[in-house]
Amino acid sequence: MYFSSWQQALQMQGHGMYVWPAYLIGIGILVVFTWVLRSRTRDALRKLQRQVEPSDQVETSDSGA
Amino acid sequence: MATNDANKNWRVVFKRWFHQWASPRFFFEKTASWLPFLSGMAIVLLGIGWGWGLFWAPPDYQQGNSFRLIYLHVPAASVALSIYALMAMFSLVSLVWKIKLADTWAQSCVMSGVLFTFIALMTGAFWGKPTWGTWWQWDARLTSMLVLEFLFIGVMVLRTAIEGREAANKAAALLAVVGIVNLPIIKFSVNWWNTLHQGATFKLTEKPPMPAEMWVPLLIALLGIYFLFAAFWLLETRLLILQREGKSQWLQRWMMTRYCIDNKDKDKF
Amino acid sequence: MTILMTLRHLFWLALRREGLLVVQKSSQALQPLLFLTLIMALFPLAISPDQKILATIAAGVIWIAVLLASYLASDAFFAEDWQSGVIEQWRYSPYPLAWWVQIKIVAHWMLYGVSITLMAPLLALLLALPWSQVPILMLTLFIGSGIIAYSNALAAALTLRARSAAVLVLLIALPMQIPVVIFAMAAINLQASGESILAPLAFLGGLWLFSAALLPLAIAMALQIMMTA
Repeated sequence: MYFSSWQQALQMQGHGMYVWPAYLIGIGILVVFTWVLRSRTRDALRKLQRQVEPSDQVETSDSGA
Repeated sequence: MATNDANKNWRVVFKRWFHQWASPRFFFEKTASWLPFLSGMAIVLLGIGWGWGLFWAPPDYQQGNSFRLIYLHVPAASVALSIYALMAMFSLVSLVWKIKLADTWAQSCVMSGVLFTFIALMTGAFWGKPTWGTWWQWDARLTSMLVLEFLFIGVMVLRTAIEGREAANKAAALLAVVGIVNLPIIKFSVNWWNTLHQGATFKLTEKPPMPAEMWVPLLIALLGIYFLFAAFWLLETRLLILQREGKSQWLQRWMMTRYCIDNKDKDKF
Repeated sequence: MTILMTLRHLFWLALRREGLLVVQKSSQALQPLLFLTLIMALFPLAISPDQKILATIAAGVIWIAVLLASYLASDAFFAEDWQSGVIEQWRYSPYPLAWWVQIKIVAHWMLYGVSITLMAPLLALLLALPWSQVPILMLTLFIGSGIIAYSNALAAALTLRARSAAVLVLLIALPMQIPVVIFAMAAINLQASGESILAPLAFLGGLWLFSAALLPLAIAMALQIMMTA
């Protein structure tokens, strides 16, 4: 490890205030996008399931959460 | 004659392969198990690349620690450009051979492209402040990247603005193809206008001008971000197939078997 | 030979039609030019009435205003022909759609491009641009408006069925027009500093040829998509 302590790694000799926010925002965007795609997929799957479900089994359909 | 036959065989094989992959059903069933591999590779490679780059790599002798932004900035910029090229290629395939799935492939590039270009611009701004003393500099590369973002947003907005899905998809595909012809012209003119940015970090023919402990993590992060894009792309393509093929029998049958086999994990994908 | 004759005949007929349409709706057709002049008044008010400051930004301001005015006009470039079914008739005519598109764009250029070029000295006067730079400004505006007409027409064709086209036209056309602005302004600035303007003018001419050769095909394809898909 290049830095001798976490404190130093956070500061990066004054450049930490540029490096860390950039990484946080970047990773945040990627995480949010992943979450959006996954939740939209889940919605699509649920919709499809409602479509194929036999009508006499409707009472079991609320277990999607 | 033998070579002719071999040639013909190869063409038949290629044609079959191409048509198989262009079928939503084949694509959906074949790629079912790919997502864990792609996202796993992305997480591992990005974890190694960014962890190494942020904590272990030595600082740059000129730029100090701010150069650690390179491990996000360069991969994001590189993948954004690749995404535009890929999107235009898929669009061309969908326009010329009228393959519907190719259009879906192109569509699932757009949002990732917008986001990765934004990340490249944003990290560039954070890097510019300690290095050039300003958040934004109108230099050639930054300007080209901004234009790339406009091109991506144009394709994205056009698709949502046009009424009628087929017309919207075809118009977006046409715009993407026109854009890829334009991109070199824009890049050339912007370069001609102003150059201040440092040169490309990697050149295929030369050794990178930095020590190995600096560029190896960069290479790992670069690879990781391509895997990440591949995972995004696959997830979005499968999502679009789910949304579009809802009425086709194979998908309903697929859903039915899933539903019967395990009722508990049905939200998993 | 006969085909060429008919094509030329066709061109003049289409040009006459465009001209008649402009005369018919002269108040609407003059809007972009009015808009252009109005914008000119804003810059001295917003920045400074100082002639020296104005002279340094004049050429760029005129170019930006011309671009903005061109978007104003291009929003409805195909809309009228689309609604009245003229484009549908082009499709079933014996001539290729791209040729009709080419004629319409050239006609548009001859009307708007020429009038903007002729207006340039007046605009230059308002913004205190040195007279020595006016001829080159007019030249770049003349060629540049030709290139702009093609990319605006593409944006107009692609957004024919779009819900809110105005901003979308800008978003599609503007990136394509960045090289035009760069080379036009480079020619003006190089001439002001007494250097050779051959390179930027050659690039502008090349861009014009490139657009004139390829963009009508893309525009025709866009119209085809809008009609059939």
